[in-house]
Amino acid sequence: MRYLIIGNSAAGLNGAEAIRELDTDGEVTIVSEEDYPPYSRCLIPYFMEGKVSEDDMLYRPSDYYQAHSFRIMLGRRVVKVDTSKMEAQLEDGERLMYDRLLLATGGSPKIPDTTGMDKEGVLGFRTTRDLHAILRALKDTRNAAVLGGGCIGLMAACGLRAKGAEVLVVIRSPHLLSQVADAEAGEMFRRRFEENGVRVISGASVDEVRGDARVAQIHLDNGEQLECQLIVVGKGVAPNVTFLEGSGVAVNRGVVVDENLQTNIPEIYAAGDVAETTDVVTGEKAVNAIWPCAAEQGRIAGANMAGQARTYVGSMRMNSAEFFGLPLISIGVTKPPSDEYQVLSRRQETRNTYRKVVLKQNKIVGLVMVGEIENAGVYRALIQKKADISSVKDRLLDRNFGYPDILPLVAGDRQRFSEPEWRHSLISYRR
Amino acid sequence: MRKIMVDLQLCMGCNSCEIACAVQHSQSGDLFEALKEPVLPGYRLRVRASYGMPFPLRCEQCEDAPCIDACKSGAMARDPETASVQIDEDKCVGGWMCVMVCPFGAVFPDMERGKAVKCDLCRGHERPACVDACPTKALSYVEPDEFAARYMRAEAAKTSTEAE
Repeated sequence: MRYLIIGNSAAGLNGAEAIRELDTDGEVTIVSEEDYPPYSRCLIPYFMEGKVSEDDMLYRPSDYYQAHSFRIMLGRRVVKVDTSKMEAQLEDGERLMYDRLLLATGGSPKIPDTTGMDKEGVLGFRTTRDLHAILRALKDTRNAAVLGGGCIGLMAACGLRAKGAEVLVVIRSPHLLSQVADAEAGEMFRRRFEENGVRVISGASVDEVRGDARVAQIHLDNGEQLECQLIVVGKGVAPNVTFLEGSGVAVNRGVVVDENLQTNIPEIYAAGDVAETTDVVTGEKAVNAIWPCAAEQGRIAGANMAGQARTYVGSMRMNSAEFFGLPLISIGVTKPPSDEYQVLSRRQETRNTYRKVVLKQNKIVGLVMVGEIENAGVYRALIQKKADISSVKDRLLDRNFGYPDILPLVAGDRQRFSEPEWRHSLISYRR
Repeated sequence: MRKIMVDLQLCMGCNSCEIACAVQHSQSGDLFEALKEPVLPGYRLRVRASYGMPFPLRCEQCEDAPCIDACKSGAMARDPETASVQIDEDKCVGGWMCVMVCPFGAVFPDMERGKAVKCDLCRGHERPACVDACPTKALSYVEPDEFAARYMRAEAAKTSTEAE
């Protein structure tokens, strides 16, 4: 069996590993446009802050491909997939035949088409290539602007600040992290950023980037004009799907997959930031472009490709980040769209903590935790399991709310909590 | 695989397991010395209360461990020899993805050190220290199925004694 994997990150690598576990003889080829060993792009901000070395950014050891007998083709871009001939075509014309294909091409930073955005010094914050370009640009940068106040933008801001730049964050919404968390959390982080010397301009967007070849100034739609020699764009990512045009592989916002991560073409699967999956919380189709979902999808897609039928329960919007020492975890629906939802929340000024639990019909559908993040996963389990939490509702905001609080709930609903671990933890449990 | 299994009927909540765990993971391996160490070992197992009943909370070594998928640095991995889930502290960057996804809340964030901490089954030792330290034998290091069978037998024996 010939397996072809396009993509060398969370989804691609976990897919390749899952295949190898089940098929020791199959030919596994990994093609990647990026020309780097298997690193974790999530560690780029840590590298900028000096917390990890470039070697530490490796997600897998350097002898990894060899040890797993993977054929690796780095720095090679797939430009076309011919689904009838079952082959992928590379930029240089080479064709790779496959019996099973995994699309794990990820996404690319969305760069606004504002005038001047094509100047030198406007960069994304996603790849090692971006990282090196930023480091080069920083040599003659005094003022850096970050566009976007989500996790990526803010991590970039922390990294740039750590490198000594004067940092400005420009966001269109009134609050930082407005897509990720909520206004309350956003204000806690705004304060934290300002305390650390980062200026935040909210409710504004860039309407022009000025300069000669290189960025020199940004002009905002509120009339402000600011000097900057570097712009890092953190306004989300768009799935890398252009090479699929005309291939017959169905693409909506991302590559459309079913619960086996299979596309409309039976021998083609997709996983990670390129795939559009079903969101467990909302039940709607979504591209949840986050590392944990990518890794899990890769693993499940790989298993299916190698013949072991496995079902994906669905993706979930979730984020874990820490900015200037203040941690944040957010999951699911954090800003309820209607009054069908109930919100429980608690802000403790003295501890600088905030916790918010969003409920819908006595089920948890969202969580925000700032400052204290222990036990976040217990809430997540309740979200994923869609468990009725009426019996523990009055405990949900307790500082120590955790697994011991839901023992009776889990014990009373063993069909829902059916995985061996839940069972094991309850063997000697009596109410 | 063998895991730390708990007989909740025997647990008195004495916290001996927590202390043994901390000593085992200290630099010196001695309780009184450990208290003076600059880096405290942190919790890998915690005795928590569940509606008035003690509950020793620890990693369940999940078969399909979400923390492994979630870890963005590749620090969380399955140990091929014991099938346990282990953190490579050198690789851990404190991204807290594991904390976000552990359904038991059994991965503890050590915010000061920026490292995630969890039960490692006292890797390299014959038995986890907590198991040896438990005065009532509530904790055992055993296959879950074997533990279940043993627990059921003990319960059945108790019921028949009570009936007589």
